[in-house]
Amino acid sequence: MKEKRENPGELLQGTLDLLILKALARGAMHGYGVAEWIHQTSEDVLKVEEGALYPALHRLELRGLLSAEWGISDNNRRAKFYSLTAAGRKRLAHETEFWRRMSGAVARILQTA
Amino acid sequence: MFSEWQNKTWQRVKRLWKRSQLDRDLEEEVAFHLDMREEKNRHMGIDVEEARYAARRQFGNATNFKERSHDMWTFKTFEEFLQDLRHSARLLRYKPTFTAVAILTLAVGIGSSTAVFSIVNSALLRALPYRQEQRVVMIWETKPREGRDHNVVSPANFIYWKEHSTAFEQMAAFFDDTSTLTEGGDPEEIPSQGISTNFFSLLGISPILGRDFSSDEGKPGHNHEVLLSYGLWKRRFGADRSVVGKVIRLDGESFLVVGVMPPGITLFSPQGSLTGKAAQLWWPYGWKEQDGNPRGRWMTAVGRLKPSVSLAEAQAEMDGFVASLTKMYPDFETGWGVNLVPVHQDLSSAIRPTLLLLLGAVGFVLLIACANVSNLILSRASAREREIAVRSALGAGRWRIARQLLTESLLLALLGGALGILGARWTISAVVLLIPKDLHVSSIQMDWHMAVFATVVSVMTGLAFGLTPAFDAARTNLTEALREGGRSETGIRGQRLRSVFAIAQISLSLMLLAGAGLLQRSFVKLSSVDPGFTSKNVLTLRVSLPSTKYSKPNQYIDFFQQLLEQVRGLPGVRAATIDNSFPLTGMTPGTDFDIAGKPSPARGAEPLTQVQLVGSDFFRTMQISLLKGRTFSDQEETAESHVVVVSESLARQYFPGEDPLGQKIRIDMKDHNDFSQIIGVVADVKRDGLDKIPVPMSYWPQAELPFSSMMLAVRTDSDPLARVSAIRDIVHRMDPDLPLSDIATMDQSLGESVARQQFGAVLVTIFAGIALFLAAIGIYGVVSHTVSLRSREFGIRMALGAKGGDVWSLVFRHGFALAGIGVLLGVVATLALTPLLRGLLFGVSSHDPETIVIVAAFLMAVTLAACLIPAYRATRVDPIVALRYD
Repeated sequence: MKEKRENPGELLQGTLDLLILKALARGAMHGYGVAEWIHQTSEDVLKVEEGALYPALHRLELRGLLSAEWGISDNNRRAKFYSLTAAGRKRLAHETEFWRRMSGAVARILQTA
Repeated sequence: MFSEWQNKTWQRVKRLWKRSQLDRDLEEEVAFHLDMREEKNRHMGIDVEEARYAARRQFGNATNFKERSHDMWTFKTFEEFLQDLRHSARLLRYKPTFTAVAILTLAVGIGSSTAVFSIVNSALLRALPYRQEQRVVMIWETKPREGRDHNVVSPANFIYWKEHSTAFEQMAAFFDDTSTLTEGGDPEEIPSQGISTNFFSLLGISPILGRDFSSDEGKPGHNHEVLLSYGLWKRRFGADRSVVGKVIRLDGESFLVVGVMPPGITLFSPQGSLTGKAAQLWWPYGWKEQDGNPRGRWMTAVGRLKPSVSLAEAQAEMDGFVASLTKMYPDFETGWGVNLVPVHQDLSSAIRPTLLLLLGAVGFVLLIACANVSNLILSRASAREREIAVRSALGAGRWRIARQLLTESLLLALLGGALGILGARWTISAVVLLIPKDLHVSSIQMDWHMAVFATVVSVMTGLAFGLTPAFDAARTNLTEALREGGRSETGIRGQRLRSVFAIAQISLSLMLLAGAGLLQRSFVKLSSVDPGFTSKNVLTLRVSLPSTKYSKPNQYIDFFQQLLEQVRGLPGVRAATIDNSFPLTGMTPGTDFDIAGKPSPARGAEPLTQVQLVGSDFFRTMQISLLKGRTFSDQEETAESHVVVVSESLARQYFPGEDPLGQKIRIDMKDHNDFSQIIGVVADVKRDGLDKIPVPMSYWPQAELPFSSMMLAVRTDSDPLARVSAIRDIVHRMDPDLPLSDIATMDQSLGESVARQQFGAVLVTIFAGIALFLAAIGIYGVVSHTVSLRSREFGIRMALGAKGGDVWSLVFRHGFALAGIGVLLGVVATLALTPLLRGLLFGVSSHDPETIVIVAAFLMAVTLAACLIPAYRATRVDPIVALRYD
């Protein structure tokens, strides 16, 4: 069976993945931390249903781009911390490069118009 | 992305046994997130209650996300399949009757068709172990005037063909014989074959041990080599590899064992066999000078066609040879021809009609089983319309529902198939025991293709009819289907389809029952045919004297006279005699004769008679009635005196309106033939089979043409087999090296002679019984389903004053309509099909009205009996309950 498509208006799956990878580039973080980072850095431009983060995190973990470990949070609670694996780092670099070129191309097109 | 796929699978497998932990972790992760958000919301000044709701809102549908994560970590499709399987198993358990009937039906259909197809495959379709067997052909002589198309061939003709033929790569001749083996155990008469030395190289078979015959073996002085069959090698020589190169005693002579052949390669053609038994050892036939003279036909010939030559071309060449040979030997060859038959067709021709009949019967059973399964699934589907509507209302996709139904069918198929395959195994071993010996079917292997095919076919038909209403239910008006008591369009359509199935089942069963009835009647008729002698309490066995010790005809006569004298002295023995071949146990020699004082007939149209060499007590022992004149005296038995007793049909055919007694006939049997005087006329004996018209027969006393191998017939007071050991002792005392063979009672031989007909009749009857049972279930299913659909109507009718009898007649009218149409169609189809049985019937017309009427009436009765329970249930409907139900 195909995986269900995200609802329209939600982030493109690839974008969300990129954001998660980017968020974790700075170090291990739990899901809530990732959500907070996305809120802050994108200045709430990208509206995410926070729950949608978790299937995405799990999918990336399953694909071996992230590794996860249970640890203790700042407020002394058990939390699952995600961090980038080598493959995840490579993917992030790859995706970043892709987006850079893509946005450059889009910008050029918009300028010529 | 192989490594990624690997990684995923590994991750999933790791969690396979930690399901509850996986769910706990997911739960905890989400809870942590919600708590953190709630706390932050509170920090931002939102009040406690609102902060929690806001956190939930921001998070979205937590259950959905958890489920999606859960699915990710597991083998979703597979787990759904397991879920479906559990669900199906539960459903099947809750409906034990449905389940049992469906599985049993499947098992019967799959089991019987697999068993029969396996047998047919082994007996008819499997390739023979010969190199390019499609090019190997049997060469028979024919005599169209007497309807003989599989006659043994003359050595002289064979030599001529072999010399002149360009169509054949090779030709070989062989003939069945017996050899007495005194090595490695009690003396035993072993079926053997004398063969041309190129016989095995023609077939393309090499020995597994030792070597084949060389081309000069078989020449005078070089024909004392022998090849052993695999079975004989194991049985008598303990599979000893060093037997090759050893000398063994056969018929009192020394033979060198040159090799052992692989198992299952014997070329045995019952039509050409003088022994009726497949050979277990082979020796090279030493061709003699006089084999080139046109005299007598007794060999079997086989040839290998050249690759470029077609059967028709080879036949044309042989027809040319027949023309030349007829010119060369007009006396011998006129009226004869040649018939080439591919070896595969030749060997399976005896069993083919019976097996095709069974295949047809079992095909019907499979069809009926399919109809039954469809019927069952259809009725389930319409009963489950509401369940399916509920499931699709709750969001189940159509594919998801179809998958559930598929899983159910798969489960049924697996259970039914497993049971069916067990049943097939059992059936095959049972049928193997039933297969008449004269059909020579040896090993039968289970055919797995057929098992799978039958399973798939029966389930697919069930599914095809079961899925449609299910899909309709999922698609059509949910509110309608959900409404309590709503009866949808599809339910009615399904019901109509089910009636069609029931009718088809009745028709098919009728055809099978009619076939079975005809075969049974034919078998009964055949069994009650008077064979011309009394078979009860007669023991027969064969004693063969080796030519090394007994070389003179007088020695044969003396030996058998002494033997008879001693046997007659045994207690419980009423009479004993000898004969060179007994009725129903083998080929009887036949030849031309001419009548003294009558003009010689045209060539190829000479009078014909079978010839028997008998003792003087033969007619008394066998209880064959003497119609005229007298039988042989003791003196005539032992001294050649040129007298003959003829059968009624010979007298009638060749001496119409004359007194045959005192007439003289000259039977062309020996090198020099004298006229024999007819001294008596006896009743005809059905020698060649109870269904055959007796051929004219001449009985000579033993002294006229003494044989070294004779049958002994002993009439006893009680169980004839109880005398065997006493007779064995007598023979042993006379000569310890002599084996007794072919020990049987006349009743056994008689039974075996009709075993093929019995086999067909019994099996078809079993299949017809199964079909009838399945059809009864089908009818019961349809009628009881209708009753349950109409229970409200019955309730209202009864509330309005209808009596139980009225309801009974309503239900029966339905059953009667189904049965009537089914029987009518069945009778029409039967009349169209039974002519195919004609070749298998004896004394019964293929349209035998009695059989068809009885079968039709029987089927009507069974159908109506199947309506009894539903009808009873209909009368028990409580009007109040029926009305309140909605």
